[in-house]
Amino acid sequence: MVAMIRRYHRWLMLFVGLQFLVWSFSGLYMVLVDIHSIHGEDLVTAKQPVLAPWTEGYQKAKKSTLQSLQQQTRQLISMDINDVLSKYPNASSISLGWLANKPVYRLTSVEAIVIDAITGDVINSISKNLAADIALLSVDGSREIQGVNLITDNPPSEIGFRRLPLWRVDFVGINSPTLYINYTTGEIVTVRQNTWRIFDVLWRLHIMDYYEGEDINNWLLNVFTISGLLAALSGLILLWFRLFKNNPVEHTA
Amino acid sequence: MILKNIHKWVSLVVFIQLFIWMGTGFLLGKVDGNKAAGRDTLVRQSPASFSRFYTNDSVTKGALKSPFVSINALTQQYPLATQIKLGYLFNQPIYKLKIFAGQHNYQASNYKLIDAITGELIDLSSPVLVAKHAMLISAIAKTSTKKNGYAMSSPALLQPPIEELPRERNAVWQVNIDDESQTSVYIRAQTGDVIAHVNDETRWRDLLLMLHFMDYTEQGSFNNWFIKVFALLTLLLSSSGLWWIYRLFKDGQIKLTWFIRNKTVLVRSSETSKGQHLRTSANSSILNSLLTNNISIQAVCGGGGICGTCKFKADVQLAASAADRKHITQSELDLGYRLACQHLIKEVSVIGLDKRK
Ligand code: FES
Repeated sequence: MVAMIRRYHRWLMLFVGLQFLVWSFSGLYMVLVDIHSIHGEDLVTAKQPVLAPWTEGYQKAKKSTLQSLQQQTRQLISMDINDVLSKYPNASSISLGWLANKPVYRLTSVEAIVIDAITGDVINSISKNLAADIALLSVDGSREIQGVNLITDNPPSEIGFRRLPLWRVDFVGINSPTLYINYTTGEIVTVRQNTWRIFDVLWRLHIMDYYEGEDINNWLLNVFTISGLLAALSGLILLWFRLFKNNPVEHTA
Repeated sequence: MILKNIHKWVSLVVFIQLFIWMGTGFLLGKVDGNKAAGRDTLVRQSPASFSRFYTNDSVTKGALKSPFVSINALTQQYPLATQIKLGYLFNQPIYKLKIFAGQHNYQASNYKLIDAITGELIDLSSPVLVAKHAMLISAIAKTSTKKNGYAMSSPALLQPPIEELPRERNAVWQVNIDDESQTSVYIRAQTGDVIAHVNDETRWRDLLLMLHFMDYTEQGSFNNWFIKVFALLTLLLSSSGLWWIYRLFKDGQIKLTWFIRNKTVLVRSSETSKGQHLRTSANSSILNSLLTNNISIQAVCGGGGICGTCKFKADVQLAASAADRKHITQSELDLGYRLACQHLIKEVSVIGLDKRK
């Protein structure tokens, strides 16, 4: 009986043993490396500057106090949200936020429109320099850019099915961080770095879906899981015998 | 021997988790992802445009030029706003001011909602909602779901940690619908956004995930200490197991062949004084061949090279494996004694079995 179980354990593990190693190694990586850093949250800052100093009302209120006498003059937001909307009444959402260090309106009408809130000009697309500025201003600390490239076709697999064109901004560093920036709105679409890239490969190995990396119910995984359960069960019986049945008993098949 | 001991003791620690990992992993594959994410009941509202505030027709009776509170007025009152968004709360135009937000919506954030026409602050986070707001939350919950005609609870404000939304760090309103899958609608109190439809499929998936991630403190994360320790031990278990298999190969105890080759050997024992011919697979171990042919031999560990009970006497001087040397004295080794689980049929032609001690 024990001999039979030991044989099953061996042959099953000969089949699934390597996958056990893959499961435990990929699992270990995934639990050890903080998921927030995988997502690049320690790279890209969530903090944004406040809008108030760029508005007239706020500046007037400040002027009335003494300490703001040497207030630097800066260009203020000249367009109110009502002005923008009377021009684009079909917008279904509009927001005032940031494009690099410039306040802009972003509206969704039929398509996305970006308007410089200071000059009122429509910003049709993000230039290469602006893409670099956006990237530099959104990362924590000082970093060096390795290259800025526009992706119009053949997207790298690491961005999935995101809409093109996108600016790809690569930073220098062992983790090779890359920021992807929307070509029309200047928003950061996603962040990729080597810890993410390794995670992605290990995840595919973990779920045994090597092409799509999505299906956790594929037949290969199911076959290995069921065999794995049987292999573990035979191992458990062997363990039980080794722990409690170590007195010499005669065993025949 | 160290290898086998590591394998034994580590397996004792992690075996339950191994079953949980594989069991929950298998069951997670069977979960209906769409249903668990609440996508089958969730209605995505497409927001109306703001044109009705600008067109001059009989309904608006001469459009207002500036129907909404100005940016100037907003920043004076809320100087910490970093983003200002005009949108709708149910059907009422509102400003959503972002003071601070993390990169995921579930992270702790600070938003203010302002009535875009009157400039009044709308506070949905107070545990005692003014009747108007309570109706608003109920209406948002109701229109967010495709399920009609079921009883709905009145909104209840929950502070994090929230049992059914382990990652959420903001206060949420919970509205329970008494449908067959017990849907709970969750609405973030700061923003009025519908963030989740949790139903029985979601709860089942989350239970499986919690077990798979060993997330017993329900942080909604797999970066916890339990799983780090167990993952490390499991890596030790699988690598020691694979090493063991490698050693079996190297010592010739496992042979992979395409065809079964048979060989006849002579088994001499005290019971069969003349000996008995045995025709059996050349590449199977001596122990297994004896056992499958009902020839009795002791094998407490079942062929693991651990117990040392499966002794036999070979007709030739076989290379002694580590397990042979551990369990058999040098003088017996010289006489040809070996462990039956450590050698293959093809290595011998006569197998001598001693009388039972
Ligand atoms: S059966 Fe235990 S050592 Fe051979």
